[in-house]
Amino acid sequence: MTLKTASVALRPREEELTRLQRLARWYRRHREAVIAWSFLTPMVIYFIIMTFVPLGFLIGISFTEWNIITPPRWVGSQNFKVIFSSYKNWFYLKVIGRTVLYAVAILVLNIVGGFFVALVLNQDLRGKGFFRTLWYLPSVFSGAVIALLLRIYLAPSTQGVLNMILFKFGIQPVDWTHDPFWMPIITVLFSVWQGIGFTVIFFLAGLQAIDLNLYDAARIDGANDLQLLRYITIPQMVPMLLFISVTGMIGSMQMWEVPKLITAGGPNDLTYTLLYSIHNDAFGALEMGMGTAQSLVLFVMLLVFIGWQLNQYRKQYGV
Amino acid sequence: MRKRRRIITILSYIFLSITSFIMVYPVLFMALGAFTTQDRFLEALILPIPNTLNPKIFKATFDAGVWEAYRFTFIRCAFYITVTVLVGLIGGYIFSKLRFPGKNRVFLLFLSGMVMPGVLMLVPMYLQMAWFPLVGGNNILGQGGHGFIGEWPVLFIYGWVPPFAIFLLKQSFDMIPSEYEDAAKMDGAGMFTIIFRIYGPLLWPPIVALIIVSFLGTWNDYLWPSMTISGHPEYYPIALRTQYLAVTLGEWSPVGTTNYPAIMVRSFLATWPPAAVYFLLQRYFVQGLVASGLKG
Repeated sequence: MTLKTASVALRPREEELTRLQRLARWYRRHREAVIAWSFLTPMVIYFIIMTFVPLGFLIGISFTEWNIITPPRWVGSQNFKVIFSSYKNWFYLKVIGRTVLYAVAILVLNIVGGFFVALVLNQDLRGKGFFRTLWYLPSVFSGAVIALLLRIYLAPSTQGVLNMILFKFGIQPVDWTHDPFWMPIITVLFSVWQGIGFTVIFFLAGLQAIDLNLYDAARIDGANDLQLLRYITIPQMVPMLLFISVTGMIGSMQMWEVPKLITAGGPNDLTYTLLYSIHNDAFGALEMGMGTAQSLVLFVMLLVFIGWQLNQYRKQYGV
Repeated sequence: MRKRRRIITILSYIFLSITSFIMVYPVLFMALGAFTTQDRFLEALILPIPNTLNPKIFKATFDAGVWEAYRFTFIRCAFYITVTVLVGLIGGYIFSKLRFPGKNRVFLLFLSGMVMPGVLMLVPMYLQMAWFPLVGGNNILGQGGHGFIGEWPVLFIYGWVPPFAIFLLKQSFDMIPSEYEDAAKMDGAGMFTIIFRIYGPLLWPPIVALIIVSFLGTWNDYLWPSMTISGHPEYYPIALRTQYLAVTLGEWSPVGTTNYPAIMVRSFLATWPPAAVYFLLQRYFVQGLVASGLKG
């Protein structure tokens, strides 16, 4: 009892504190918040200006008709109507469908191939670090530089390096970039070539994180290799699969190197992807409204895909 | 059983050798082709066999502006590496170790930047740069001039708050117990001392990973510079500059004879630094990504 009265007597009463002391006490109590927010405030302001202001532009301009030179004109949803209409023989819908097809093809090859290679590399092999290094190597190069190189490899007649070599084996030159059969395949392979190293590394990381006891336990129960793969390895890789399919989809939907630097969308528009179309409309034809409207469509498609994937995985595996 | 293992091992080696060769083939062809004469290049059956150092071609390419491009690209890489690591460390520390109101909401805001498809934003970003107020002849409303377009700052102005770096380092900070900093706090150490002296040395794998990622991203940047500073070759990053050289040096023509070694030299000059950095630091790269990026 006496102790308590003593402590009360020692503590200065509220109104006796000077303003400065009160400030100091407040600071002591909220020190972490003050520090955090004094750094975060400029970061948040910068982030909003540099990320959300352009996003606002994107949305705003997509409802206008605008060629940069004369002032923009509000046209409501006309740009979107053009995209989802039979205009120019369903041109834009075809572009969207084609982009999705490319993205799916790239993603499937990437995941199936990457998973297989990761399984092979996950064995107890000597020199596997060397092979892993080589597999990832293409991903470190600039897609643009490689695409420009590819243009020289694929040039028509024996001027192209690929034709030059094939000719020595007795194969007649092919005009690769104008070939409606080969060019889409080359486009897909180029993207897979660039991206698969990433997939392999992440699958490998996931494989190495699996608890080996799981395998031992299953083997004691008499499971064979295929069953181990089906019932242990693949389910354990689900979070990684989710990560790779989301990042891979975002990446492959935005593929632009081949159409912009090699084919200009040809042959027969077969490599005319959405991103090339955006670039072409916005900076080629100076139709900013059409360019941004397509960007918005692509953006919404990606968001829907990501949301759907997250939902799907959550439902099935409770990730 | 053992025999089967052995067959699998042998098959694995065969598979890996062939596929790895295919993976590096286009690049290997270019790297070797940079050191051949034109005649030797045309003889190539599977790979060109180097027979010269091509000093003339290298000299001509360097004289045409590769030094300048290297210097500018290097400065840009150094800038972005510094910003990424610094802001990433500060942001990661704040989100991992401090408690304050609004934390989750701000973190989510930054994370939303990770799903923002960068290439799609190029058109509005271009406009934002063109309308930047009070720059390049613009008035306060951002009208009347060309803004940042065609000026070198346009290549330095974005990406100061890198969401990926903040996320990666937050995950890494989360894995280190806070007891580490308590003793330092008793001694009255400030936040920067705690971040750089106490945690810094423990966090080098993700930091090295970030250095590699931001180096590669900046070094290989092509589309944004090609849109915003076209017409100012002195500010072209190397990827763009080497393509521009193809035009100015005039070796690439669709009909005439192609000077292959010159083209290979240019590609080689643009691609050897990323390859070198990757080969030198790759162990940390995998380690850093795996250790911190994935467990969250």
